[in-house]
Amino acid sequence: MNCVKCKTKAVIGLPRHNAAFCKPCFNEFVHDQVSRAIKAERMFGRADRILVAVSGGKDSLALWDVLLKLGYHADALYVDLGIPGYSAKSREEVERYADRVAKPCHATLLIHTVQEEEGAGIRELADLINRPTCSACGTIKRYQFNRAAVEQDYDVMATGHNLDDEAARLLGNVLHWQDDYLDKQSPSLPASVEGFAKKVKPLYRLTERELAAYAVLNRIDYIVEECPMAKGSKLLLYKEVLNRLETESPGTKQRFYWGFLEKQAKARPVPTSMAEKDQATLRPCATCGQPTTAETCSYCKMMARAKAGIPR
Amino acid sequence: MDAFLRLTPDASRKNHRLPLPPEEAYDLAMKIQLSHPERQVEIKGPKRVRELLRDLNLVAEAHLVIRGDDLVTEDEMLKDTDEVEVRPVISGGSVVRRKG
Ligand code: SF4
Ligand SMILES: [Zn+2]
Ligand SMILES: [Zn+2]
Repeated sequence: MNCVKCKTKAVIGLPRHNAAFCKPCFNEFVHDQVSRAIKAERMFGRADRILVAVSGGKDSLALWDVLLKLGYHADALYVDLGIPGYSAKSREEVERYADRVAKPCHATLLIHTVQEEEGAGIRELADLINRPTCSACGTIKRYQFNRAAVEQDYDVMATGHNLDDEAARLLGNVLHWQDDYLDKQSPSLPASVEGFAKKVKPLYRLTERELAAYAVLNRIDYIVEECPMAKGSKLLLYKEVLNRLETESPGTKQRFYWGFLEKQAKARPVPTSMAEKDQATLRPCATCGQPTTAETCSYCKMMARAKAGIPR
Repeated sequence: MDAFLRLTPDASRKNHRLPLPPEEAYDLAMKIQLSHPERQVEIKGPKRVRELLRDLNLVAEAHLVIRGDDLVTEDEMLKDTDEVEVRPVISGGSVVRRKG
């Protein structure tokens, strides 16, 4: 198999593009896909300060790397969840990357340690308030990323969601006809939606396999075994099904998700109407001052319940 | 017994009387590192990457095949002396293709 651009030996074949690339041409392909995403969805500009949510997995580290290589001003935030056997290792990968690549590019790694700030690891916190770990985790991560973005004046928050993530989520939402969620599946959500900082997903044009390949080829060490709490999740099943379809009929995932985005863009200019709707109902949380639709935000409510449950 | 071991040749053939060059020795097989759960299996080569994945019931779209520090494409031929890693790319789990 030879590179379709320069005819040297290829390192990866991309059936969905009917292409194969050598390492330099593959890197160019990845950078180009991210640039296109940034432009098409008006994610951010050269002058903007970006906060990347990193987990130690391939997607978020690859995202940070691509943004730095493209010359954007991108810092990162890592939330240490205190999950035994996972958090220490993923934190190590993030710190290693930050020292080796990000620091020389004058980019900063911010770290939020749940055990220190919230008083217990995520699993203990979830137990205390009787909620599934992933739901408590979602509340904390959303809150802390948003707080960091708003308090430290970042223009936009970027996450490592890729084509597989978005296609799997779309499949789940369609299977259950979760219309409300469909509105929030855009790769670029304006600042006021949910009362949060502007959120973008610059990797929505790249598959998980391409991002893993990017990490391997560019010697970015990442944690292959991701969070143990994810096991058995429905999203994994949807990804599995989509990948079977993709292998038999390349291009299925992108036709599904990008096709949805096109239809949605034609149907209605959702973001503006949603932004207005949100702004009308938002007010500052009575406890912490962050935007919320209720008296107290869901993070403060959760922490109050957890504190009541923590024996003194 | 591990199902994959059946893919390596009969152990009795090790006692072949003629001396053989190392690459062609009958007890040599490529070493494959797998995840979920982590394990190593040996499979008799030569074999193309595409066929290796098929034999292991793994979906190509959900895996990368890595030899040393390099990626290998699906049309590449693997030899008995090769050591490769088949790495799942899906966060949190591997994708196993159903037989048939
Ligand atoms: S799998 Fe659950 S607990 Fe683990 S990082 Fe994701 S949301 Fe948090
Ligand atoms: Zn090339
Ligand atoms: Zn609050």
